[in-house]
Amino acid sequence: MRIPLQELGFKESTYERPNQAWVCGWAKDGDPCKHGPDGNGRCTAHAQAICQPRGDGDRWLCTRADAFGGSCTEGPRPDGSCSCPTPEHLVCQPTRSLRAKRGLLVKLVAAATFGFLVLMLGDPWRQGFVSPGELSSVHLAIEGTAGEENCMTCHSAGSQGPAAWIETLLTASDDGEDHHNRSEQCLACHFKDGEIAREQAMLVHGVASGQLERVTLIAQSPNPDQSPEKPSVEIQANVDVTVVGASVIGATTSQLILADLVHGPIEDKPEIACSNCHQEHRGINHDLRLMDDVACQVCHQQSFESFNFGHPRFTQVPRQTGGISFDHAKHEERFESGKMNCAGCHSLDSQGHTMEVKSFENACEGCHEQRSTDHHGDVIKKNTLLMIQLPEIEFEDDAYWPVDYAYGESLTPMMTMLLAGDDEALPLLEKIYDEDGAAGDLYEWLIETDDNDEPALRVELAMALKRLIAELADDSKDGAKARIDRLASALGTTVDDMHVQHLANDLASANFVMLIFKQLYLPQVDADLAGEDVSAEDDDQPETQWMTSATTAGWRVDFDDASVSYRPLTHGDSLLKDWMEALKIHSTKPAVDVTNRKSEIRAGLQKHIYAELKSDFNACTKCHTQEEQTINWNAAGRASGFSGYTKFNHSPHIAMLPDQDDCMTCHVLNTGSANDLSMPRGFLPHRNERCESCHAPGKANNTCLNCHQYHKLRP
Amino acid sequence: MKTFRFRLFWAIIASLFLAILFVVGMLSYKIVLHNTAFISGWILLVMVLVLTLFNVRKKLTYPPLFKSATWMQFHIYIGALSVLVFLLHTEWHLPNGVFESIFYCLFVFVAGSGVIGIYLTRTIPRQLAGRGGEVIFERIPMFLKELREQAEGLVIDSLQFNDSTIIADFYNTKLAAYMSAPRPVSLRVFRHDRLREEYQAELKALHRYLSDEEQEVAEKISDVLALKDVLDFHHGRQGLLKAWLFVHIPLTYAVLLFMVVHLVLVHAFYGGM
Repeated sequence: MRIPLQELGFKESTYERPNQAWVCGWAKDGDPCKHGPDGNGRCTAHAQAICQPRGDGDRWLCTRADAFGGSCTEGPRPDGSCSCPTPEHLVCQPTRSLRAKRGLLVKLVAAATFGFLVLMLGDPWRQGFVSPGELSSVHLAIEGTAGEENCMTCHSAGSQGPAAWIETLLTASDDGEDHHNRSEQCLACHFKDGEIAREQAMLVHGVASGQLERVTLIAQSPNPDQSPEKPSVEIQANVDVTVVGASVIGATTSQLILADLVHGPIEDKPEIACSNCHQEHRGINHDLRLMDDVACQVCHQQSFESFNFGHPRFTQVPRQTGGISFDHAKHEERFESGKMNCAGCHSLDSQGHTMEVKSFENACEGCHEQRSTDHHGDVIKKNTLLMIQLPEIEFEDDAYWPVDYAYGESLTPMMTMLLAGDDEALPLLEKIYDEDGAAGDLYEWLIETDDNDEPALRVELAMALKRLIAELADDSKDGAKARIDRLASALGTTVDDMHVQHLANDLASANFVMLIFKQLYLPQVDADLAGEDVSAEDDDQPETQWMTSATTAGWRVDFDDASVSYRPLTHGDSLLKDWMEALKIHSTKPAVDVTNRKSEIRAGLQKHIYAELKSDFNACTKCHTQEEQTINWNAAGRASGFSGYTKFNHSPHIAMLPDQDDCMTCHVLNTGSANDLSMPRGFLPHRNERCESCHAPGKANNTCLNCHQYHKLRP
Repeated sequence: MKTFRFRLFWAIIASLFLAILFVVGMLSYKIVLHNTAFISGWILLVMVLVLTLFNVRKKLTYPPLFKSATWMQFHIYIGALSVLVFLLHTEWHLPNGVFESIFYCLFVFVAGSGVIGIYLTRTIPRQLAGRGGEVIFERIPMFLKELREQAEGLVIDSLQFNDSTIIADFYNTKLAAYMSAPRPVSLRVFRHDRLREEYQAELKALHRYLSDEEQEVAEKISDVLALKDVLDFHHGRQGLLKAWLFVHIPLTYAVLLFMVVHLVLVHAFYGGM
């Protein structure tokens, strides 16, 4: 039943004005005056009592409103003025209405907030106040200069004040240039040393778009020879592109469909600012590399639901060349018999990521020991390399030349290379190695000189050889400098070149041997070169000398052949390595100055020498494969180098193996036919199922970033 | 005329449609590595400004930009959407920094007080109607005074019977304080009728010592107590209807100020990392 608390009728109820700022002070006691205070909060009790009397003939009538008490009993004065009777209400202290109190509170809060912000945005609290939170652990070490906060290390605004910030807001734009400039602070530390990498840092995957297209074409092409641009990696034919669960529609695929509907295909992605992916100030434990799987797939042409549903088979991983060539499949019997095991040759790196190949001495020498019949290194030791041998030359006139000890029928590769460093000998070498003439056959060239009646050329060649012998035997500083200059000229490079320096050191170790050689066969060569009249008939009878001291290890003078030869003593012989590398790199230099005749002749000679020595180097290159301009002295590691976007951590996986040496759980030897699709070094491709058995929803991490990295070059 | 349920249904449908549209848009932009924080931030700024304009609109009598009730409807649904935009803008992360934590808390308080306000404005009128009577909040003290005077008059009347002071003594010791002012806020808001029931029970217990006339007076006093209780209930509930705005509106202006500074900061500091 409704109880009438009050009458709200027109006549029974007065009009309330809740919008008014002041209310009567008696209101809280339930007895407010009718009019209430004025707009300035002053009591109007007295004013309510006063009226403007109305004249009625010769009388004055009180006009006080009923609401203020009605006509007073005293009535107006005779002169028509109000007699100001006692007001109906006592004077009160008006109070603010609820609405006014709320308005006042709004102003107070706004003023307090403004004051607080002004205070906190001033020094010295500004940096700490505006900082959006603690940096991640990788950036915690960033420190500014002494006495300053570290905001300005990454943010130029960190050293500015609110006025500059407002200016930035007013001038900020959303174009690509602005994004680029704002990421410069990141790049100032990351990619510090790689100019190209820095320029491309904000491109998709940090590489030029053309490179990504090439990777895509390589992955899609069954035959690399038909690719628009032949890749630097080898691809096996008949790539199996079958994928399991590619048609599964799940959360990832749904989002991809959604993105496709909203944006269409992502074809030309502009630069991406660092902060789009790397969210800082999320606390010390925040991982800056976090990225959604769907964000990876939105650009990739072959989309799939997850690693377990639709991920391309590992058979699509291209085969990688490079590194030491070692076919594990050929050693299958040894693996099975237990004579070989993985740990014998491999060990985890310090971070536990990669299985490194142990050194030759620790990994290979156990079986391929020196002097064993199957060791290619032994072939090198048995077949000494002929370095210096005086060629058999007849002269029309008298010339200082040990005719009785000059057995050579041609110039050795070492002699040719060193003679190429002698500008005076260069024209002779050009004729000797002329493809339309002697083509490197010294005997043929000597006949040519007879036919052309050019006996002086023989003398010139002898003089060039004598200068070479004298120089190689010279152990003075001048001799060393002369050899460096000769090598630099021969290789077409500068004296500072690493290979020149290495070879010069190698030749210096042969000083003593060359001195013996000179004393044995050309004892008067210095006098001869000085222009004195000397004769070979005055030379002493030479005797056999073997050089076995530490400084001349490997070098020897062979009395039977009147030659100097070199025999490597151990695997990784420095002279052979330096010589191979120098010839390989300098003979395959792409830019030859064709306007410089000497440079052109030397480039041709280098190629000729390298081709001639290839058979000698076979013992090395059987394992140490050759690239375009380099020789792989070390193991290449795993095949992740193909795209640069994959990673694998061996350590936790090894810990999961029942037997820690049972690497073949994942690395299965390819013992089938040669046409099988295989990964490098005699292994079959990895099987997705092996990984999927653990890396699945609810089990081990199966996100993209668990095995892939966005940046090819780690920033 | 469209019913309340009809309007509610379509308002919720429209809000859900806008919410889904926004979530889908943000998600699709985020997938392609766009920085969605700026987009959602600007949208949130506009929403907060529109929400604040409701307060301005209430103060303006001209021009007649829709009815205040229409604004209220928009205020509620835009407010609800702004919470969603806020959560997406902050990526469901709690802030770490001082400024952002304060800003975050202010927004949560404003939004939270708004939600409480909606609940109060939807439930209290029904409660008030259920307790009977309509009374203007500002007049409650006046009616309380009238009830007090009425009760005191009844007490004086009781003195004329047999010179008994039982009712007068009881009033002086127990009811005078109760009738003199509204009860404490906590009692008004929560256990509003327990004290009244106790007093009425005690008054009933006095009947054995009272004459018939006095018992009649005691019954009337009990009725006055019931009315006083209703008034207290109105005072408490209507007070709540006004009190939540003391949190909601002042903090809104604090949010606006923080929002301006936040806008400046994110543009000045964006992109370094």
